[in-house]
Order: sequence, then C-alpha cells, then structure tokens
Amino acid sequence: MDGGIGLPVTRRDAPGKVSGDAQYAADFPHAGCAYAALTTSSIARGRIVRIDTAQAERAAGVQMVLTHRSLNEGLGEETFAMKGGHMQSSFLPLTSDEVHYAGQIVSLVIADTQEQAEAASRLIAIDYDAQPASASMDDGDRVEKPLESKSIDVGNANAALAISPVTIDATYVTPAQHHNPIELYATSAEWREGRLLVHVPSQWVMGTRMGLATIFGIPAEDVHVECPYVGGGFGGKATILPHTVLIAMAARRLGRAVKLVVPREAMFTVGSFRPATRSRVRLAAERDGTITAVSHEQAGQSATIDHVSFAVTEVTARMYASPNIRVRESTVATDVNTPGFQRAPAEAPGFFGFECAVDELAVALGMDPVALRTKNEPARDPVGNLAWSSRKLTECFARGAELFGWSRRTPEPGSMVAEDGALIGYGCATACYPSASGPSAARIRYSADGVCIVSLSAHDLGTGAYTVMGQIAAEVLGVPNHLVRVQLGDSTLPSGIIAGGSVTTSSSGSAVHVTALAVRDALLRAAGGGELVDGFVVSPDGSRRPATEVLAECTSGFIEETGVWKPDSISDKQMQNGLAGGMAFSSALGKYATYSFGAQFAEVRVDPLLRTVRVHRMVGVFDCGRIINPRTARSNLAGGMIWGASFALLEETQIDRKRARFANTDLAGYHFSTNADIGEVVVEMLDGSDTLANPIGTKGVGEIGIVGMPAAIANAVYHATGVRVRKTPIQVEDLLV
Amino acid sequence: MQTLDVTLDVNGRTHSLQLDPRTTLLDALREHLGLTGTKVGCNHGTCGSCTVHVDGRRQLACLVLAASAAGRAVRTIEGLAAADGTPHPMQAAFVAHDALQCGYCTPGQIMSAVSCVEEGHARTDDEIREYMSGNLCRCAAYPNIVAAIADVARAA
Amino acid sequence: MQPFTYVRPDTLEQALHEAAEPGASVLAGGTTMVDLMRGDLAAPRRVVDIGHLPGLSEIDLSGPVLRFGALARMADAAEDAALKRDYPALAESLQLAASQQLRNAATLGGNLLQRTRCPYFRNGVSACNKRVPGSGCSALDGEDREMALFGISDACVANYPGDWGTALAAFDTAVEIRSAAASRTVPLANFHVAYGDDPARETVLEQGEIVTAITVRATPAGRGSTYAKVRDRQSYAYALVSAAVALEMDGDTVASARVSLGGVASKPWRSAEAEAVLTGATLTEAAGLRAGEAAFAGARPGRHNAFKVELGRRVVARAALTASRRA
Repeated sequence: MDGGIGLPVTRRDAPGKVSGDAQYAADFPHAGCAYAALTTSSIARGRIVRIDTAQAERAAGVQMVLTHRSLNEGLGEETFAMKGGHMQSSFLPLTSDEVHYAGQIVSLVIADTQEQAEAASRLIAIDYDAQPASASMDDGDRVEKPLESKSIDVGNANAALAISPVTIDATYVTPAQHHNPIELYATSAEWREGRLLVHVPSQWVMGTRMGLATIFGIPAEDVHVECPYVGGGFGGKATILPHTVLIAMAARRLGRAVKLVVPREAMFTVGSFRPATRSRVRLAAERDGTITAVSHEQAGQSATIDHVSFAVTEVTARMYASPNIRVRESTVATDVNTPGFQRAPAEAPGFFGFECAVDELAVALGMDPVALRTKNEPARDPVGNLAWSSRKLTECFARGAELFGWSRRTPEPGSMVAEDGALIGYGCATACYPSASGPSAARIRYSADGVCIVSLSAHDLGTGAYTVMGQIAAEVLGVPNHLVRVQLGDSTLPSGIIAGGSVTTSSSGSAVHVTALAVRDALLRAAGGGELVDGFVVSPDGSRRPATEVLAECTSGFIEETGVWKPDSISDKQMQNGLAGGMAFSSALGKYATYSFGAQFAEVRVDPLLRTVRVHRMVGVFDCGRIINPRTARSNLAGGMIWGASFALLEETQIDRKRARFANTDLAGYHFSTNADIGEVVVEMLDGSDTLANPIGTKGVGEIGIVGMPAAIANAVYHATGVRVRKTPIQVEDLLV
Repeated sequence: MQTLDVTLDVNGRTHSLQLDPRTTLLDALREHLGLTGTKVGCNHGTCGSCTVHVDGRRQLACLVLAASAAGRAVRTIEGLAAADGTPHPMQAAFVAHDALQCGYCTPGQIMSAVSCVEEGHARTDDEIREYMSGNLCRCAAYPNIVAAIADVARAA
Repeated sequence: MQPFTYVRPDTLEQALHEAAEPGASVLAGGTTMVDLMRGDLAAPRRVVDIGHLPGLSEIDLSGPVLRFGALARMADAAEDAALKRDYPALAESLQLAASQQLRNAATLGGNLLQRTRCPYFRNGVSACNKRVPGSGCSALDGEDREMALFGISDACVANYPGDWGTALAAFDTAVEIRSAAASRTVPLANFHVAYGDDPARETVLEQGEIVTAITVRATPAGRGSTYAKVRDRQSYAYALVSAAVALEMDGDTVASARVSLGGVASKPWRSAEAEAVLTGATLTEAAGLRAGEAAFAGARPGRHNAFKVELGRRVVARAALTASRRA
C-alpha cells in the first residue's frame, strides 16, 4: 500500500503544474472569443449623472459597451452568499446609476482583442454627483452597531475585573487586507444552444452553477462551471463575483464567447476583502496566574450595501478556563465593496488582539506565557460546558516549546542578543479554528484494469485535495497510488463541498470514504463474500485473488458507486440543498465542541539601530485530528504560518479616508512576504484521529496555520524591544522609539 | 491601425504572427500561440509569474512588447523538459520537495529558479531567497522552493 | 494601451531621427515604459524601440571617468566584479533594486527615468498635478506614508523611486544626451527636476533626446562606499529610506564624505549638510547620527511620513559606519 491514509504521497497534480499543462480559468481556449475590459468608479458614493460611451463604441474592434443604461435584461433574483445566496455582494453593478463604493464596475467594454478592449475602456467619460463617503471604520461619522445575538455572558466578568489583583485592558486593531491570489480573477463565458459554459476560478463550482442558473433562469444542469485548478483562493473565489454575471450576459447578447481577466488594481474592489477590526480585550487573573475573567469586544468593518460580521469572540471565549466570560460583537458600516471570507476570516484578526492580551497578562504576572496558557487549559468548553471532541493544546505547547527551544528564553525584553547585535525576541500564541463539515457526494469507479477514478466537484486550491481524496479511496480499496485518478472542480461531477472553512477533507473526504466502502461492499458481493485486503479479496476459506479479477468478471468491467455523506446535525432537507449548491454546514458546537488547535512560536530579529524586524524562524505544532497526507498538510500549515507573518509585519490595504478609497492597489504597494522575508518554518502535527468529528477523524488544516502567528510575532517583537505594538502591520515606525 | 509582422522564436520553434503593436510577449504567448503555461499575475512587473527566458536570461514577459522580442530566443515552461518529455531537474525537484501549492506561480518560479542556478546565485539558502524574491508565491511555498533549488544547485 | 506605431531603427542616428517626431517615445528595456503605457500614463503615438541598438551597452571602469552605456542592463552592472570592488555603493544600489528578472531587462539609462510610485499618479483617477497639470495633489491630504520630504511643494509631494539614481548622486555623475542635431552632457544634479518645482516634468530631457551614457568621475571614495536601503519587506520593494555614503578616511577621521538620500526626495538627493558634519569627524555611531540629523534638518514631513526623519537619521549613520569600514 503506497497510497493510503497517513502517507506523504506526492501531490497528484504536481506534474501538470510544473510542466505548464495545468489549465486555470484564463487558460481555456474559446473559439472566436471576444475580450472584455472594465471601467470602475472614481468616486466612492453618489450617482452617475452622465456616461458617454460614444468614443469607446467607435473605437477599433469594439463590439459592445455595457453600462447601467444598457443592462436592461430581466435577471433572476440572486442574493449575497451570507444571506443564503451565492453572490459576493447583494449589489450587482450596472443595475442602477448608484455608486456605493470606489472602484465599483460602471461599464464593461467588449472588443475583438484584449488590447482594443483595454484602450476603449479608457475612453468612457462619466460625470458623477458625488456624495460624502467613509471607507474607514475609524471615521468620525461611523457608528458601531451591536450584534446582540453574538453576546456571551458567563458569570460576571465586569465584577471579576473590578476585584482581581492583576488585570489587562487594551485595544488592538487590524487593517483591511486583500487576498491577492497570484491568479487574477478571470471569467470566460460561452453559450451553446442555451447552455452556459463558464471558466472561472472558483472555490465553489456547485454554488456558482446554482447561482448562475437562478440569475439566467435556466436549469442548473444547463450551467457548466469548469475549474480544475484555482490559482490561489483564500476565500476570495468562494462566491460569484459580479463581473462573472456581467460577462455571461455579454456573451449571451453577443452570441460569442467573452473573456475577462481582471486587472490587479481592480481586484481590490470587484471582489471581497478582509475587513478591518478593533478588539478591546480585558483579562483578569489571580497572582498565581489563574484567569478570573475574559472579556473580548470586537467591532468589525462592514459595508453599507451588505451587513457582514466575522464573529471571533465565540471562539476566543472558549480558549481559557475562566469562571467569568463576557464577549460582544458589533459592526461598523462603511462605503466599501462587500467584505468577505479571507483565510481564517474571524480568527486571524481576532486572535491577534486576544493572544497579545494573554501575553500582556503573562508579563503583568511575571509568568511564562506558555505556563500561563497551560495553567488555564479548560477541561471542557467554558461557555457551554460541552466536552471537547478532542483538544490537545497543552501537548501542542509542550512539543512546540521543545522544538523551538523555548527554555532558552530569558523573560526580560531586550535581554537576548544575537552575535551580530540583533535583538532576539521569542513569542508564542494559541491558534484555534472551528471544525465544521457539510454534506458531500462522491463517485468512485473501480475498473478491471486496476484504475480507480474518484470524481466529485470539490476543489484543490493547492490544499492537496487531488491527492488526499485519492488516498482516502485507496485506503479502503487497497489500490496502488499510480492507478488512482481524481477529478475535481467541475460542476458536472457529483456534488462536492465549497472549499471554505477548512471543510473539504472532513466533508468531501468523508463522502469519498463512504463511497469507497460501498464500492468495497459491492466488490465483495460480486466475489461472493470475504474481505478486501490490500487489493486482494480474501475468501472465508483463506484463498486470495486480486480484486481486478473480480472486476473483470463484472459485465461492465467495473464497479461504480455514488455515495453521499452528511454530518448528523444536518437534516435531509439541508443536505439536499447543500448538494444542489446551497450552503449547509454543521456547527463546531454540537454534541461536542470540535476545534483544531495549535501552539505557535516565533523568533524575530530586530536591528538595534534601524529597528527593522525579520522573522527568523517559526514553529507550529497542531492538533488537527487525523492527517491524511502529512506532506500536503505540512505545506498548507506552513503557508498559513507565512500568511501570519505577512499579517503581522506587512499586510495592509491603506484606506485614503479623504477619498474613501483603497490607496495601495497593486503588488508593489500591497506587500506580502517574498521568499527573502521567510526563514525557517517548522511544522509538526500531533498524531490522533478525532472520530467524534467525522468517520475519517479529520478536523481541518487550511486556516489554522495563520491564526496564532500574528500575535506570536507581535509578542516576540515585544520581547525583543520592550515595545508593545497593538496594531498590524507592525512597521518600522512603530519601533523607532 | 498598424499590424506588425513579428517572428518569434519560442522553445526552438519559429512562429510568424501578425500582431497589434501593443501586444506584449506575455499576451502573444498566451493568446496567440496558446502557450498558457506562462501565467499572468499583475501585468506590471510586480509578481514574477510571467517569467520566461529571453536569450537565456530570465525576464518578465508582461513588460516586453512582442515586437521587441522578435529575433530573440524565448524559452517558456513548455520548453523546459527534454525532447523525450523527461522533466527538467528543476521541475522534478519542485515535485519532490512539494515546492508548490496552487501551482499558479509555479511556471514562473521554475523558470526563475533555473536561471538562479545558472547565474550562480544559488550558493546559499539566503542567496536563493534573495534571488527568488522577484517571484511572489501567495500560497507561500517558499521554504520548499528554497529546498528544491538548493537540491538542484548541489547536483549541478 | 492606446494605439501606437512601433518602429525599430537599426542605428542610433535613425533612432534620434524617429524620436524627434511629435508624440514619439523611446523604448529600451521596457520595464518602466510598457508599465506606464499599460496604465495609459504614457500614451505615445510612436514607440521607438532602441533596446537592441549596438554600441550603447558597454561598461568601462578603466579610465579617470567611469562610463556606463545607457543600454547596459542593470544586472550586468550589479554583477560587475570591478564595480562591486571599487564602487560597492553603485553595485549595491542595483542589487537592492527590483528583481533579477527586472534587472535583466531594465537599462541603466532607462532606470534613471523611472517615474514615481505615487498611487495617486498611478491610479489614473485621483487629482494629480503630475498626470493632469492643475488638477491638484491628492497625496497632500491622502495617504502620504511613502511620499517625499525634500524637493516637494503643495503641488506635488511624490517620491523619486530609483536606487541607482540615488547612489549615483553621491558621486560626480553626468548624463550624456544625444539628439539628432546635437549632444550635451548634463550633471546628474541638474538632470532630474524636483517634482515640487514642476510636477509635470521629470527630467530636462527634451523631445527627441536620448540618454546614451552615464559617466562618473573616478574617486578613491568609491571603495569606501555603501548603499543602505530600508524597506517594508526584505526584498523586491521600494525604499522607505535609503542612503549612499562614500568616504575617504584618514585613520578614524573622515577626510571626505559624499552622502545621498533616497526614498525621501522627489529626485536623487545629495546631502551637503550630512557631508559637512561627517568631514573631519571621528566616525562613531554618534557622529553618524549627527550627520543623519543634519541631513534631515530641512525635511518637510507630511501627515504619515514624519518617521522617515528618525529612520533616515539612523540609515545615514548605518551607511556611514559601513562605508568607513570599507574605506
């Protein structure tokens, strides 16, 4: 068995990706394709009072110009994904003369060539009636709107804070950030006899299919969304972006395939982004480090066109044993494109403040930060008193501290100095991410030639799904790795789940597992009983023959089964909706509290004169349940940790408050880590299956890597410099003291 | 509007194209020659995903007009493997070290990495990190990319 | 990109003739021009491609005047062993700029002509006196963390982004320019126009003129030089603050000093103030910081970039200490 669960099987999609053969959305040829270019609003709020397209329409090669005046087709009702629909936003540009945010699409030019479309898009003249706008949650006119349903109160945190001997009360802020996958948003659409073929980078081909079918009033089967590879998603490609609808419409009107590749600068406003946050964290403890109160109040940036909330405090409330817990959530509406999911949407920003505050408490107590966390490890969920399905956070800290060499740390800030004079800082933080799952289907065909084909419309964003799904099938069927094929990212396949919330392996992997069991059972029935061992059918009498021999005796020459899996808490109706392309997730809080955990450590080096910070090394030890493929899981977790380093030190979408627009809208201005920014990254995953979570025992890997890293690095910066920076990114000016 | 006759030498093959002068080498490769292994990530020289070799040196195809590339030897990811299809050692090393996740920046990373070794800029891990910093990887496969290149450099 | 006619002359003379046409722009490595054209920030009607012209790519460091052909590639100069040994500041400025792919394409002459990274210039919609003269400067009341502190005015606070130009400013550098009718040599100090004086202008180059070479008067201070660059990330980013320092030492005492600043000015910025403090001083970190303080005494910080004064002080000190060790 060279391809089963737990083995570091080489990424199945790697050969195609290193050869250039792997086709991403913009790589698919469409015969006779026309090209589109966008024009976006220069103002942040107001109305279009005049839009002159004459010059653009006369320009060479131009076939069509779409504006709010020409987009007069009746479209089906589709809604915002967070309201149960599939759209990135409830607002579809070009459906009115209103401008709700800077960079909103205000026209679409279609021409014979890319060059012609781009040039003509610059020739559109627009007059606006501009209204005052606020794009920052810090603007004076913005108000916090409490979300009372998100409040949690256990005991009386305020009272405990008032009487406890050691307390912390600090406010932390994180900025807007953008996914900036290297693959640009791109959509190609083509209508063939009333059926729509779309190539679009998608983390949710079934949702995209369902949404487009609703909008265009055609059966879901008549929409084909093909996207075998996604060039980085991180949440940004989870929903239908408005331009996909517009391109499909333009293609229908022109009777010709149309392709749009969104320019990098427009990526900042035609999709979603991670909204800014502000967290006030108050902690109280006895002098021995026993935490007596946890209070976390978070305000998140939302949009005037859509209410969006990423409530982290329901997670932070459960991190430490405390008799008194109080959390609050609120949102602040701003004039921006609708924010959305971005890798650990709630947890990455929320844990920055929360885990920095824990570090501040450790400093106030004169206590080791690892010891403080371990001391307050809760035996059960401190809010609902649920049992953990599994929680090995203390083991993560113990192993992480050992790997990192935490014991070398001397607590006094600035007390550790490298040979070259650099100030050394050690920091750590807890990471946690809720483990959810949802319904998924899968199809497996096992043929007499030994080939096993696993097919489902799940997605591999670089996460390893192509490899992992095959391993789960191989584990049951005993098929050698080189005979396993996996098909993903195509809406004509059995329904996989959205690639979001770290649910793919738990959900679609479970579907593959139960389907493989069904194939096994059918095979054994065909063989007249026995057991399947390493690809051989072992009869009750002990005789062995290859499974392929049994398959060859089947009239079709193969056995094929389609199976479905759902978590217990999901009803059949919810399952049907989910399989059709709707959103259907179990909660992390059911019979058990089910979360992935991690302990994260960072060593930073700070130039004593220039005060520049470099992340010298990072260590993460994780409890993510069973690891199907340690190789791809390690890469995913390491990538998350590097995202965390980027979050801590680099990433910020600057908001020009005067103009209510994003300022640094290119990759020269929006910084994330280069190769040179990253030193050693060590990842370890604790053994352990969590079969209370699902039949394959997994808990989710994709998002947790980022969660604790920003705080671990900020805490390390404090340790190196004695400067407590309560914002990200931590920049050189924050340390020039 | 001017139409240019442009002869491009790509991966050892000559292609005669009629192009809008505005066509970049990147768009000529992708939209006119169907060589979509070279990726578009920014069109501004800020990401490295369109890295190709021009006369043996790594460059960004998005900032070269196709007309300027006429008469130069262009090599893309599709031209890296041996004639019999054997992957280039750098391609094999990227697979072996799991030096990719989504794979979108990978062709550019590999073209850049091949040059990095050829230039003699792969003597230490830190040197690799610096000389590969023109290729952004949002999945952040950086540690494995460094390991893959160091492996190839050692063997070279 | 707006439509243009592409021409590819075979000789410099033909190129100069073509470049004199109204609406013509010269294209060399393309890393700046193609980018600007893509954003309609440059919309030439005629593009004169000179990237392939022979005889303009030599680097000659042998004489009393160093000579860099305008079409020499940044990467070639950055890797030149003699330049690294004798003028590390110049080699480092190239090495710390952009990426190897860009350095392989970009030319030394073209690099001097880089335009600002100011987002309000680049975004094509905000008021910008550089893009649309008379429209105003959005950076004044906008995001100005990356903006300049020297050579600015209420008309424009944009930053000159080049590292090579900044390092050259520490030396006696001149720019050789040809046109169809004439040739002239302009000291680097007079080549760039401070944006604050005339936002719409970048350099003194006139229509039809082509930079053919950059010359630097040889100096023993070259060996005692360095280019220090601080940026938000470790690589592939523009300078927040940079400084080139070239020293001749007499024991521990600075005999002569050359200091230029980048990331803080609208053109390559020579700091006579820092040079005066360093000259004759015993070089310690404190002396370096005093020189840095002098360098930034005349700075005009905006709303979010005042930190560059303190950072700049330290960058000058760091560069001075590194340079003194080499001198």
